[in-house]
Formats: sequence, C-alpha cells, structure tokens
Amino acid sequence: MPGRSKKKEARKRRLEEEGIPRRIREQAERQVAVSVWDRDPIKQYIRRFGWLEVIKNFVERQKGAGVDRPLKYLTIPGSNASDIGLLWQADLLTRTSEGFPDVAICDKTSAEEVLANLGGLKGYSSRSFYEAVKYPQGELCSLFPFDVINLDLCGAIITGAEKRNRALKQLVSIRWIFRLQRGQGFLLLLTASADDRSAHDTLQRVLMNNLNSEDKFKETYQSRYGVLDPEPYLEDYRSLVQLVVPKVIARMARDCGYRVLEHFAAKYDRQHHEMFCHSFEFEFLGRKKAAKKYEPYFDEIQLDEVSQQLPSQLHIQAINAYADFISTLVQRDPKRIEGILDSDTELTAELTDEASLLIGWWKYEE
Amino acid sequence: MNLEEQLRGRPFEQIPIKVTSGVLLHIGAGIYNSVAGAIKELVSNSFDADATRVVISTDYPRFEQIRVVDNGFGMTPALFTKAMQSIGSSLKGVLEPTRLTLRFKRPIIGHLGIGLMALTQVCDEATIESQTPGSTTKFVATLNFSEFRQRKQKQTEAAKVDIFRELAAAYGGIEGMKQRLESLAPESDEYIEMLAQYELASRAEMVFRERGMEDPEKEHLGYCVLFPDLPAVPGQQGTTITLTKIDEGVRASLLDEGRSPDAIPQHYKDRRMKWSEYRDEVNNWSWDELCKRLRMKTSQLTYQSLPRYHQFLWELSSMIPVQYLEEGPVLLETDLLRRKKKELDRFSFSVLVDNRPLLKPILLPSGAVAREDKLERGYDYYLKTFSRDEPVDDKELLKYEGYIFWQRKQVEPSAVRGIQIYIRNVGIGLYDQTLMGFSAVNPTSRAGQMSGEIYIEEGLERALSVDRNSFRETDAHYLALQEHLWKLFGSTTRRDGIMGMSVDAYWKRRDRREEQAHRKHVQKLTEQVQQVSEGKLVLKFSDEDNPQPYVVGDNQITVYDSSPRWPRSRSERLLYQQLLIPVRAAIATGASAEQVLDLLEEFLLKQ
Repeated sequence: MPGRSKKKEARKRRLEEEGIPRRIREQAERQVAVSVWDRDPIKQYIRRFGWLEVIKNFVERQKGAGVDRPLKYLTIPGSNASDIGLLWQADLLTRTSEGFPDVAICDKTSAEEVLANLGGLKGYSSRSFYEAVKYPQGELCSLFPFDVINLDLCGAIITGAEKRNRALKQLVSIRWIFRLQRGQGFLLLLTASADDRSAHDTLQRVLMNNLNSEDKFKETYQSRYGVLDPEPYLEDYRSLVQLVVPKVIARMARDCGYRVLEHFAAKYDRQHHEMFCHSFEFEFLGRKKAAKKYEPYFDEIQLDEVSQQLPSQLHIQAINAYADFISTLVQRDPKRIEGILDSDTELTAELTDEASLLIGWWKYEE
Repeated sequence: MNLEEQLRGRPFEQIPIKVTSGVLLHIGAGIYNSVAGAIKELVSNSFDADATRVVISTDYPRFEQIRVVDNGFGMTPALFTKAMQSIGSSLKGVLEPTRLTLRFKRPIIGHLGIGLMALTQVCDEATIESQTPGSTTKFVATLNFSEFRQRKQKQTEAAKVDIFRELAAAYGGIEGMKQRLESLAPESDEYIEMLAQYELASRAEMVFRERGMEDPEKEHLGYCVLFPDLPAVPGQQGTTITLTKIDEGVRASLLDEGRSPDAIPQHYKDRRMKWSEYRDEVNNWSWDELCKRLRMKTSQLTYQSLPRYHQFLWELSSMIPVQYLEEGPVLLETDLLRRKKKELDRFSFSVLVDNRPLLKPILLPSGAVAREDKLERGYDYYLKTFSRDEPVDDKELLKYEGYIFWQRKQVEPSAVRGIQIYIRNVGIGLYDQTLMGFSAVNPTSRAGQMSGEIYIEEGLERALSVDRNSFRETDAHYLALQEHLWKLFGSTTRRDGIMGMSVDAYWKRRDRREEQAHRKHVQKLTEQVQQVSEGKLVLKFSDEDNPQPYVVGDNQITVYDSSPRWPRSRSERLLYQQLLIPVRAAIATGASAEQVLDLLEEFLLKQ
C-alpha cells in the first residue's frame, strides 16, 4: 500500500533525525562498557586492596569499640553489583532468604535489575543519587545513616562552567550525606573522574587560597616542595584534583563536626578516562565513647549549618582537625594502579579471574 | 532465512502492531483501565519466562514512570515480533507442546502480547528491553501509543462495524439473516434476539458502504520500533519494560486526585491528614500489617477508603501467582490449600513492588468475627472444600479445586467478598461478588459473608474474554462450574448447602443463646425463691406437661415451663415467672401483704 510505506519512510526519517537509533545503540554500548570494566583487574584491585581492606578495618574498629551489628551499606553498584558480591563473600554483608536487608542501592539504569537478581534490599532508588538523597523527597533519605557509602560517581566533581550544574549536584549530594548521617561515623568510598580540564583555573584558585590562608597546609606544602606557588601541581591535573576534592569534602565534614581520615587513595585510567578514588573515614567529634561514634548524634536531620548547632569547643576541634587533615594531603602520593599491575603479571591475572567470578555471583549459594 | 536471521544486523525495524478486532474493541471500551489488570499481564509474561523475581517500580509518590524488571529467560526479537503481530490470537499453539516452563515447570499462561496492549490505557510510551541467557545481543523495542490514541475512535468504530458484519457473515450475509428471521416464530426468544442482531448487522453494513471503511483486520495499533541486535551485557538476562508518559487519568487516580477528604477514615481525618499524608502513612506499613489492618478493620480502615495506590497493590497481589501471607488464606485451617501452597513455593516466584514483597492478601476469618476469642466451626464459620476432575459433556476436561469460606458476619475487606477464579494460577479479574450470578438469582445478605477461591487447572480457558479479566458466561465450562458452585451454595432451606448450613448455624446460635438465657433465669429464680422463703422452699423446673403453671408442695415449688397457661412468648413467660414465683414462694412461707408488696416493688420499680 503506497500510502502506508510513505508513512513508514517518514517515520524512519524522523527517528533518524531525532537520533533515536544512535542513542539507543550508544546506551547499550555504554552498558556493555560498564560490564567490561567490572572485569578489569584495575577495578578489582580497587575493590580488593582498596575498598575491601578499608571496610574490613573499619568493621574491626567498630567491633573493637563494642559495636556488633550488621554493616549498613549504600552503593551505586552497576548491573553486576560486584562490590556487594565481594563484601558478601568476605562475610561483611548479611544475606538472608529475603536478600540483603542492610544494603541500599541507587542506580539510574539498573536498580530494579539488581534487586531482581539479589532478591531484596533495604531500599533502592532508580533516580540520580542527587534526587535520591535530596531531603526530604529522596527515596533513600529515610534509610540513613549508613556505615559505608560507596559513591562511584563516574563524572567529575569539580568542573568548568559547562558541566557545573551536574558537578554541583554531586557536591550537594555529598553535603546532604553529612546531614543525613546525623553525626554518625561512617566511611565514604569515592570514585570520580579527573577528566574535565576546564576546571583547572578553579582548582588552581582553591590551591592558591589555601596556600594563603591555611598555615599548616602552607607549612607542609613548603616543606615538601620548597616553594609556595602551585607550580608542582599544575603539570599534573589529576594530582591537583586529588588535592582539592578531598579538601572540599573535608571542609563539608568540618562544618558538620566530623574529623576526616584518609585510608586509601589511588589513580588509574578507565577506558581512556582519568579517574581517581579515595576512601575517607568520618568521625564525629562530639562523641567521647568509642561505641557512640557509630550512632547518630542528632535525633533530627539538621537542615541548616550543623556547625551552628555544635558547642563552640567542638567547632574549634573540627576546625583544627580540618587543618591537620588538609596538611596531610600534600604529603601523600596516591597509588598509580597501572604501575603496580604492570610490574606484577601474576597479580593481574589473579585479579582478572576474581573479577570474572564476580559476574553473576548472586546465582551461587543463594 | 528465518525471522531471527532477517532481523539480525539491521539497525532498526518498524513493526506494525496488529490486533484482532476483539482486542481493539476492548481497548476502545477502556476495559483495561485497571492498572493492576495491565501490570498483571506483564507479571504473567515474567512467570512464563521462568523469572524468579519481578521488580516493579512505580516512582511512588510521583508515578511518572513505571518499570517492570524480571530475571527470566527473556525473549528473542523474533518471538516478540510475532507477538506484536498477532495480539489477541492466542500463542498457545506455539507454546502448547510443552505447556510447562522449562526450569520451574510452571503451567504456561501464554498471551504474550495482551499485556502490552493493556498498556495503551496506562501510558503513551513503553520501552521493552530483553536479553536471553548467554546471548551476545539483546533487543530494545519502543512502542508509541500516541498515534493509536488519536486514531482510537475511528478504529474502534471500524472494529465494531467489522464484528457486526461478521455476525451477518455467519448466516451468509444480510439476506441470509433475513431468511433465517422469516423462518422463526415472531414471539420466540430466538426471533427477538435475531431481530436485534439483524438490525445491528444491517446498520454496520450501511456504515461500511457509506464510509468505505478499511477492514479493521488490516488496521493496526501503530508501530513498534525494534532494535534487534544491540550488544548485550554478558551474564545478564531478563526483560525490562519501562512505561513513560503515564496517562494523566491513571496518575491522577494513583495520586487520589479529586477524592473527597471525607473518604479518609475518621481516625486519620481527626489527625487532619490530607490524601497525600494519609497515603504516606499507609505506605509506611509493611504488607503484612496493611493486610492485617484491613482484615480487622483497624481504625475503620476499609478497602474503599484505601489510597488508590494501595488498592492497586492489593488488586495486583490477589491476581498474580505469588504465595499467600504466612497465615492465609484461612487462619483456622492451616492445611487448607496445602498442595497449592506447596506448588506456589515450588514456582519460586516473587514480586516486589517498590521494594515491598507482595503476597496474596487473603486472611480469613475477618472483621467482627475475627475479634472474638474463640470461633467454632459450623457455628461461627464454615469451610467447604471441593474439586472436580472430569470432562464437561464428555468432551473437554474441567479440573479444579477450591474452597468457600463462610463466616457469620461480613467478610473484611469487602474486596475479598465473593469468589476469585484463577486460571493457571492467575486471577481472572477481582473477586466476583455475585458468586457467579448466584446472589442475583437468590438475593441474600449472606453473599457478603462468603469468600472463596477456585484454582482451575484444566479447562475454562475458552470462556475467557479477550481482556482476560472476565468470562463468557455462555461457555459450557463456565456453566458447569457455575452449576457446581450454585449447588454448593444451596439455599436458605436448612441443611441445603452452605447457605442452608449458615441458616443451621443461625438456629444453633439462637438455641444456644436461649439455653444460656434459660439457665440464667432458672438460677436467678432459684436464688430468689431461696431468699424469700428463707431456705424453706427449693425451686424445681420441669419440662413435663402439666396443665398447672406451678405447684407448691411442702418444701418445694415446681414450675412447669411447658404449661399452656404460661404465655407462648418466651420473653413474656420468663417475665411472668419472675413476678409470680417469688411472690408465691413468699406467701407459701407466710409473708405478709406488706412484704409481698415490697417484693413486687423491688422487682418492678427503680431503686
């Protein structure tokens, strides 16, 4: 029928013009790329020597303080949910006939898929992390506080003007995390991109400001580099990001009464993107008894600046802890994972196998 | 080259979605307007795909997107294409050879495309993504119903014309119908029915000629754009269906828009709750708690006063093949449906809606009866189980099992009143409150006291309407089941079926109440006689026939309860005995007139 085939052609043209076939294919290819990355030895290195070790030590500290409860874990897992599998295999997460009652996830593309595979979760959101934790409407708000928050953001946290809106949402989300935690100590495992070079000037400005205003930072910086200008960092953009981002987060932590400890920091390339990851432990300064550090301090979620609610002595403690923390940032050099793996082919093979075994892990011993 | 090979390697395909006229008519009539009915069909597809879990996200409380994800075996693009082109015609032919799913041996429900069509009432756009195990490719299909919606009216009209023209075709055309009419007696039922059909068919023929309508069989719902060979994520499998551009009416309904604040139960109204706050409050309850509150009518919570979203959950849970709540369906008879419950367990099928595992919400006894401490079978409730495993009219097998539960007060929530029929474990519509038409023919207040479920294992499927939510009531299997059920219901004649049994229970309760009242009466009289006679007389109550109402002896006063001189009315009789016997006992033991008057005053006047 000529009329109908004309219509068909017109519809085809419209679809092509709107770029729908390209978008659908790209989305499918992106999902495959994520899955391929899940099998990468670099990713497995971060899981095993980074996150797993850090969480194990955190749990040990919790137990040492007399806290013996199942670990509450929030993550952006991806469709394979390999991090959950690894923690479960290491006995750090509880699995019951109803799935994982202490795990919550946020994943825009595969939250339901993960839930279908795992059987049950404490909660989930298939919206962006920003929407999921934006108080009070966010689906995950009521599930806080958590012990461990694994925030694999993929994108950049600090960007130039073009992508600022998205980056700001990431920062606002992290800010919300501190409030939603209500003064409970926790671990934040952060992964982000250092690809957006348009933020270079912004980062440089932050560094300059700190060199001018933070005495301890200035002192440590000078003792390491012998100069007081940002030159040593300007060559290596990722190092600059890895200096500034923890500083920004520590600043947020300070305003909420937390002391920051960094346990693991690394850098690597992910499918031609420059990435970095950090693990931070936040200890609320208002608690003296060790066990209490792992409980919420505030009954309600604080909507305004938490620092205003804190006793002045605590506020001063937080400011000092912040100064101490940022001065350590120039002293450490995050590991470059490719370097480690290139020199150890056996470990690389082992990690590749381990990562592959985590694909579809939920099917075993359910 | 098979369809799969033809599709492979092509960037995308435009597939016309073809439906039978019957489906089109149902869509046009808005029969699929229940969100639960539409989602049920998608869940059925997941059940057939051997999924162990279905996760449904409704984007509560925004309801801007609904996503249904399963971990089943997925579909190939070829199967999907086939389904899209034959919606409404059963795919049973394709599935018949096995009839059971491969992994969990579930009875296959079939009807792959119906669920997708039901979505036309829920949303404007749907995306289907499916991947089979071990496949290196997956497909994504986008369905756009907006075009269909614009053409719906014309298509529905065309479908009607088509159906009425088909009526005439069965008689060889309008002329054939006319001849048939002339051969019938004008006063016969068949003549009147035929006349109505003739009128419709003639009108349809006229419209067809005037407008030159296309044959609706060639019409279609629009196009589905299929991307058949996208790269698949290794290790994954299953189907994801995402509904976007949710119909405004559906959203408004889920958001309880336009509902009167007066419909909120008083308990929550007193707390000045709006619908949204009340919905959030209800949403905080676990599924178990919600079902128990409905069962007990806690804080006057009724099914009608539930937020629409929770009514959706309730409807969905009662229709899909998931397990019962731990104590359900009948708390007092935990062995009931044991085999069925084991079978549901074996299916390993669970459905989570917004992270809430759904279980069949039936908990009996319920309402006022459930609040009582002790319940007695045949007195407060009755349970009848039944089954059948034989052909209808020596032709096709009709096999089922089920139960009917009766309790002496209304069943709560109201949504569980009546009979729920399942075919291959999927509920066909909601509870039929007419008890398959029984209560229409035998009007009774007892219909609301009954709740039953029937699991059809074989047969009745032909009676299913195309919407899979109702039955064709003239089908032989339907009539056979109806006859069986009606027989089980019986009548209000004592000892005739469940209804008769409920009447028996009423009399038993009445007898027992009277017996208790009588015992109390005798005890009270005994005490009074003893008191006024200062222990000189004892009371004896006799059932023996005696013309005298009572006889006073040396140490005893005997009351002949069946004496014709007592009033026939029980309440009057007891009152007279309470007046006369103590007075007689007092006089017999030498009481003065003053004392007798005191005694009467004590009894008759307020103290």
